[in-house]
Amino acid sequence: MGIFRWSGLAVLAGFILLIWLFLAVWIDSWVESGVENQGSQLNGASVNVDDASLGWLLNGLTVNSLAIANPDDLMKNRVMIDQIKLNVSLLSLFKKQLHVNELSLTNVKVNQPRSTPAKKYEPLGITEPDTWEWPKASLEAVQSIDTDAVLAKLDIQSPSRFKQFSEQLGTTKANWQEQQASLPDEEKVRQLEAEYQALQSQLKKANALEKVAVLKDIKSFIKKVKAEQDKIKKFKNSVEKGIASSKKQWKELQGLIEKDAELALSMASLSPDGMRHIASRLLGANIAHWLELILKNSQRFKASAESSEKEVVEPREGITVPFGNQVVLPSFWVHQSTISGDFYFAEQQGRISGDIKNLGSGLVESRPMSSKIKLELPSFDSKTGLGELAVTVKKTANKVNLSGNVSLKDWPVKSWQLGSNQLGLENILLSSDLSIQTNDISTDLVFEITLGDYTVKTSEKPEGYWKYMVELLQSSKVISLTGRLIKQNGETKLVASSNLDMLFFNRIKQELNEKAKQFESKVKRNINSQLSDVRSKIQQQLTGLEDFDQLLTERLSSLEKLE
Amino acid sequence: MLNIIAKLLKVLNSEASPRGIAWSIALAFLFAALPMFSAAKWVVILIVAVTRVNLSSFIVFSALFALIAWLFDPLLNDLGLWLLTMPALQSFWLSVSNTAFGEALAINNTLALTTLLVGLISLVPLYFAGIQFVRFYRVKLMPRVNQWRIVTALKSTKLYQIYQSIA
Repeated sequence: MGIFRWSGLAVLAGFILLIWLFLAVWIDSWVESGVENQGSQLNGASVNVDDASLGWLLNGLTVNSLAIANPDDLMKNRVMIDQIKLNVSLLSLFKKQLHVNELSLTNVKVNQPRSTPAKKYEPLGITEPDTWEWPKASLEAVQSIDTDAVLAKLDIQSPSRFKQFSEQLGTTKANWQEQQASLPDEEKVRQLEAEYQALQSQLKKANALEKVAVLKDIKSFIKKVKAEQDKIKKFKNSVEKGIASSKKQWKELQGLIEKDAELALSMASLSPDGMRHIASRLLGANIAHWLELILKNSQRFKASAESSEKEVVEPREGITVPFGNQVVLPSFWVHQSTISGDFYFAEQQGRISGDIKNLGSGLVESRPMSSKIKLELPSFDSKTGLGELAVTVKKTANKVNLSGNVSLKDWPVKSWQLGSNQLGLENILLSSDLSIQTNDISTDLVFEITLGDYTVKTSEKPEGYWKYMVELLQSSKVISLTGRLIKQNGETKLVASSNLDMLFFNRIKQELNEKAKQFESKVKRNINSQLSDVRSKIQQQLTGLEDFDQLLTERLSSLEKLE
Repeated sequence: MLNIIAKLLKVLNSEASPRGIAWSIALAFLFAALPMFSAAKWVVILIVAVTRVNLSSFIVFSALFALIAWLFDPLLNDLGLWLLTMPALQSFWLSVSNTAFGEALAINNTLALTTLLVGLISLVPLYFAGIQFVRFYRVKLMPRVNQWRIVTALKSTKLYQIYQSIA
């Protein structure tokens, strides 16, 4: 009996076969439910898979018909992919990780309708980016101006500042009254006058020798009077200065009403700058939706890339220490993925090709995530619409930088709504260049969009600004929109302009100026009505301060007569 | 479970080679301590399958040692981290972990490294301790164990019936 038991090999092989059979049977449904559950929570709406099957060597997985619903429109799928093939690293599965060596996606469909509504899920661990003005608030402000609504939002400084000033005047007066108490009052002045008259009569009656003594007394009396005068003069000086400064403040305060009115005008987009870009706002309402989507998703993507995985050591897993060129990959990692096949966008069919490298649940410093995707779509007038998307996300010393570029050429767009149902463009050739840079401090998105070869579609009677806009669009053959969106310290600022800005502004200038004037006077009336009581009180207080000065002048002149 | 415990008792009480049982104890410790992603774990399985190691005791002791290994995880991790970050050994780890052998054994993982080291170091001592334990059990412990009330009670249970049926 040797030390080897060769029958054991057969037992082991049988055991492995059993495990393999178990995995082959169960892993399909496990992958299906895993992708659907985790994917739905990450996406915020249903993610569905038709079926999943595992290859003979357990490392090749095929997922058929993946549909990712749109959380904002549950009757549509954001993306549908006919087939996904994954080549998984078996070793990573033992570490409870999923590392995909190769991933290939075939046939991509974007924005397709669903037969049944998707289910909504609460998105996991995603920070929603701040909202920004252009898409809704700004456009509404251009279209209708509600003074009361603007005033409700406006932080009007005037009433509180007026009240504050009135209180300040009250305190000043009280201080002055307190200081005045130490000065000679009316009675004291009368006493001094009486003393002075007594000395004068003594001087008249006195002989030569007595006169010397009386004169000495008069001299000391004058010295006393002068000291009192100095006190009053000194105080009078400070009173005069106080009155001058209060009057100056009052003048400035009255100018605050103008500033409040200006602020209201800018909020209602009736400031000169706001008016000048009114055309780009109306034209860009449709673009705003896409810009917001890009901004939102870049923020989401960056946030998920930044989120470092748990550093807690799981039982039986240990810590992997990298040496040399080794890297520690996150729990989910795709080395290389390719996209190819048909591309469906709304009702149009084209081609898609591209690759994505180093996509994972976290970023690795030496391996930036990069993607390059090319799209082709048949366009109008037998042209071909071309699209290119390039994104790179790099991590350096715990900082994440995302840079991306989307360029489209002769891209077919069936319809383009211009801020209102009254006006739209149809069968447009769109060319655009959009670049985004986002880092820890800011997000900078620059875009240049050109719409050409369009036909203008209007409702029967366009009203207001729209009738001018229709004329302009019909006469102009190209619309170009350029802009820059900067997000810094939680604030998002957009500067946009269009080739139609000045033309449109000149057409509606008079109308806008009239509107601005009416609005301004309404704002001022509103502010003045709030200030009427406090204004008259301040005026009375200022007069009271001037009376105070008058009193001091009179007392001083009474004392001057005694010298 | 009852079946496995019964088998173990049978093995210990039978005339099975103490050396076979001792090797199963030593290898069970190595197997249980190693993490799943270390190729060494699968090599141990292969060794157990093709050598005349006692399988029943290997399975029972693997379960027992797995619990112990789980309890000692934090300590083994700390030890592994200390070894892998030791400046004097950096060039050694670099050269070993970049080979196919090092990669398969996941030598740059704190747990894989320390469990392999501890398992290999304790392999021979555990083997000899295993022999001593089996001999001690058979000579000294078995007669006394058989007289324990709990054992007599156990003999009237299903466990004993299973034991009898396979003995």
